[in-house]
Amino acid sequence: MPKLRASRPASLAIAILAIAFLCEAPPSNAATDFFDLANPQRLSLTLFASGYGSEKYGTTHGGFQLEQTLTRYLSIAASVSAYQVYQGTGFDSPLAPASRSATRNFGRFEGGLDFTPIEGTSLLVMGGHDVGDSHAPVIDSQFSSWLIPHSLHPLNVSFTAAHYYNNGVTSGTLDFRGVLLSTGSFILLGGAGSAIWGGGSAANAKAQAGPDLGIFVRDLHLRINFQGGYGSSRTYGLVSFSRTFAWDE
Amino acid sequence: MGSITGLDGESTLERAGHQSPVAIAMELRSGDRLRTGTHSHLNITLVDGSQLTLFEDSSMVLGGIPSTHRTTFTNLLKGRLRSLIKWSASSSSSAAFEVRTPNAIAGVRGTDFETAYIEGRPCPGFPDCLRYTDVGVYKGIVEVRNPTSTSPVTVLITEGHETKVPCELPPTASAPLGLGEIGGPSYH
Repeated sequence: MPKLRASRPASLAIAILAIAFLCEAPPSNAATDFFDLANPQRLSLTLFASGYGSEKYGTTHGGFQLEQTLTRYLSIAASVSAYQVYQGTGFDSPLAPASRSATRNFGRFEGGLDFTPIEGTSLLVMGGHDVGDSHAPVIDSQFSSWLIPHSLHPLNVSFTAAHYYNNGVTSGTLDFRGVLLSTGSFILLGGAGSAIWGGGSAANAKAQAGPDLGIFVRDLHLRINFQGGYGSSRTYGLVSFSRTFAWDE
Repeated sequence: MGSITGLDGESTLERAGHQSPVAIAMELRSGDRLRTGTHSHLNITLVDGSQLTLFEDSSMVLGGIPSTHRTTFTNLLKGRLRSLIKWSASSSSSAAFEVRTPNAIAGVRGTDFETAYIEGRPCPGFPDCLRYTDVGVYKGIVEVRNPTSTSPVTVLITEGHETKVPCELPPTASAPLGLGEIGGPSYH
């Protein structure tokens, strides 16, 4: 199965609390206007695709995510994605695996909530079901926060956590990135990322880590990220693309 | 001082107490107040070729040439305004064009920047302040200050950066523009 990522709920909560101390204070009126409808409302569509390759296996996936604001602090989200997993060795390209490869395909349908307690900080919690070669529930979460945002080189910390009932694996990722350069056309980011996964079919805990490079192209609202490194699957590489379209209502 | 060169949706022009719908090629004068409606925006071309875009649900008043400065200015009362300023090296003033909001003045030394005046939402980093100005620069340099602040701090914002001006406080330090659009790397 793919390199699936997750962590224990307790460690997730501790990490969120730690980040909360480092980022900005929430608005003092947050409690009173938490249920006020956002004005204007915003509908966003994000298209995404990513690929992972290591000496032991590879994955590709792509899809889209819709998000609709409810209040200034809360949005609902839904995503549909398709995964391909290439296990074993002998494939030249993850898009065209050779006959010796074992390929698994499945779709993932998820829905959830996106919390934005303060600008630049968000927690997305999703749950859903896989259909296809993986056929079981899945839950995952994504947290991202900008630290020292009023500076030339703000830092972003993000992590994901997930549990996959199909193979019993839990996993998590942790990324630290900083703004290296900001121009009128793009933002360049650099840092490091890591992943840990284990349990279920993965048995013992496994991990990987490496440097990370990202670029955000302003006019296209396009994000591209690269990561390469070493870990339990030996040398690996990651690339992801996402583009967001948004409409104020 | 300019004219309407682009229009999408419904907008109104208020001149000497009279309101009328905005139309393409309409000549604009100092003191004119422009309002855009929901899902509307309009483009203005000034006589020097500079271009302004007033986004939806926004309101601005075109200024003139004040006696104390040889500066063209606009008062942004609500919403977002993008300014693409025609700049020549022969300009004698250090700030030939200004966008003013109730709590900020953005003086242009560059060509392309966006100003937003936001009310009713907490300023990021200043949760008790519910009105602020956001100035983002795409090209050139913009000089930003808060005339209502007791601290005479002026911040120079370069290409690809932005500042926020919260309530009666000085502008924040220059920071990368548009961080809100970037989250984690989203590999999975």
